[in-house]
Amino acid sequence: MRSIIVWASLAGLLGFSLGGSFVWSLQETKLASHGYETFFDHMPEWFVAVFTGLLTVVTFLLVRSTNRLWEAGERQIVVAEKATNAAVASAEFIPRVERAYLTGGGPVLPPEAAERFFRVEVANYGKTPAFLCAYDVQFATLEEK
Amino acid sequence: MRAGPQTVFPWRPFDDRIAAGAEKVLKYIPVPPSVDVVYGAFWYQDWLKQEHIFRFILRIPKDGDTRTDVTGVDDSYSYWD
Repeated sequence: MRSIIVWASLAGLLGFSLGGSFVWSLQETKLASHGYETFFDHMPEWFVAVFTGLLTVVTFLLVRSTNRLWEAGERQIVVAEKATNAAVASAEFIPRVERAYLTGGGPVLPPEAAERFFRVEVANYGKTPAFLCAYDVQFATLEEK
Repeated sequence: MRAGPQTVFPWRPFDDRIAAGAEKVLKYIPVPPSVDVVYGAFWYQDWLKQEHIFRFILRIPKDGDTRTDVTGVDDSYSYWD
């Protein structure tokens, strides 16, 4: 829709200019002193006509370049949004990867003894230190679970 | 943080730092007679001071090596985040 408006405006402007030049050329002009018209008698008009033609071409190229720049900008916006989303996802992902992952348990020692002890062990398999706060260990039978 | 039929609670405060890749023995706890499983939890914070919990439940066989093959119990016993 935007390009239609641009092209319609350009066509209207150029049509007005060329039409005005055409109407101007139809008007009667005073003949030169030698009784007929030559190319050099209308040098200013020819100059305006040629300049108008060049202006049309250059304007067309300018509009086309502007549209291409606009489209390139739109594509860059899409790429920038994707890069931003990737950066945000990465920033959210890093704490989960780098954090501490604590695990625990332990054996019962000594085996098959009358008085046994559960050795509470803890290990950190994460990439950063863990700040241990507290723990709890309880015993039960399978029926209670 | 706590779930399951048998809840755990941070009864035993233990302020310590566990380095990355490190292991540590915290305590020896007497095992009552005629028990089959031991369960518990660890409460800790990461480097962003976010609190996490690791729960475990282990079967106690006769040979002393605890096993993780406790079946038929609530999933919350092995909850961790």
